[in-house]
Amino acid sequence: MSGRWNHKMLRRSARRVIGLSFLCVVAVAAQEAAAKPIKVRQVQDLGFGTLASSLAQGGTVVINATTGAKSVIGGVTDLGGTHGRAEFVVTGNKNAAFTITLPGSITITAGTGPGTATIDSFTSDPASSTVFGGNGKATVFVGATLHLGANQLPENYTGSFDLIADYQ
Amino acid sequence: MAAIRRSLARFAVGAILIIGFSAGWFLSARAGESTAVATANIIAPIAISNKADLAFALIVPHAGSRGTMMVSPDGNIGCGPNLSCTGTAEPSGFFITGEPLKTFTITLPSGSQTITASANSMIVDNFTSNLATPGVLSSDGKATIFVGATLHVGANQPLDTYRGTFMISVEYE
Repeated sequence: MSGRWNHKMLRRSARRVIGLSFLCVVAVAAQEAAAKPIKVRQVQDLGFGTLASSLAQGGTVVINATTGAKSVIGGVTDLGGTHGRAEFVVTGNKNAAFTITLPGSITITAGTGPGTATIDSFTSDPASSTVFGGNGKATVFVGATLHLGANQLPENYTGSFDLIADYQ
Repeated sequence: MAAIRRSLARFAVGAILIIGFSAGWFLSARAGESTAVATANIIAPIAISNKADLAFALIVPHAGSRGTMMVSPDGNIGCGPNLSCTGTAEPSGFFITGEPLKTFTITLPSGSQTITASANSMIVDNFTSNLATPGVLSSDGKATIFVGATLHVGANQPLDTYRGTFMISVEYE
């Protein structure tokens, strides 16, 4: 008697658990179908152009994420060259909200020399979160602040940074 | 009962594993990432150093008269009619270094500077340089400029050796 009951109970419970698992898998699959993976594509690099720091005083160079304009503060002279904000195209589910993550700071280095410089205060336009357009696309511009020391070694400095986009 | 519990537990573990695996795959696949390059082209700082001082040399004012003496950047001397100028007067020389072939500008004192000897003083003004505007550093990143000025000697200016300083600054254009 007790054994038969156990057997019935076991089968019913098993069906329930299997059913629940199936539902969960279906739910996750449905969510995946709804939230297609976000793709980020780099369109434009971040450029600070040509600069010189004075012998006595360092300074900072800011690339504005909204306007792409370059401004210098302190003992840095702006000597033109090619500058500009970085640009990314992000694709995902239309009208879905997503977050933008940028690094805290990166180091740029000179290929042939020992010089290094720091880039921080990364900003984006739109800011930390935004919404995909009706076509599932969004353009994100990125600016940052470059710090130069006094008598910064004259070199061509390069480095890289990542932009991560994720559904909110 | 123990067998049922074991079976249930086994199914539950299985279900959790399936859900966990699916959710993990889901989470890892949905975020996107891309890399951009950041560049900055830094050129050599521009520097200026004083090579020769501005000297008006020996000036003897005529009694009771004021006068002016001018030293031009190219070394010419203009001695006012009420003065007698002797000795070696010369413009100030500066040495500039920086990035080859870059253009630069200099800033001279715009007003007057005072040179003193104990409690007495004279005015130096009208600072000029031989620099074309803007200057261009040579292919090895060098330039030399000369600066002249005008000295104003007062009537009955006490005889002494007068000294003062002036500052010029240089920057890339």
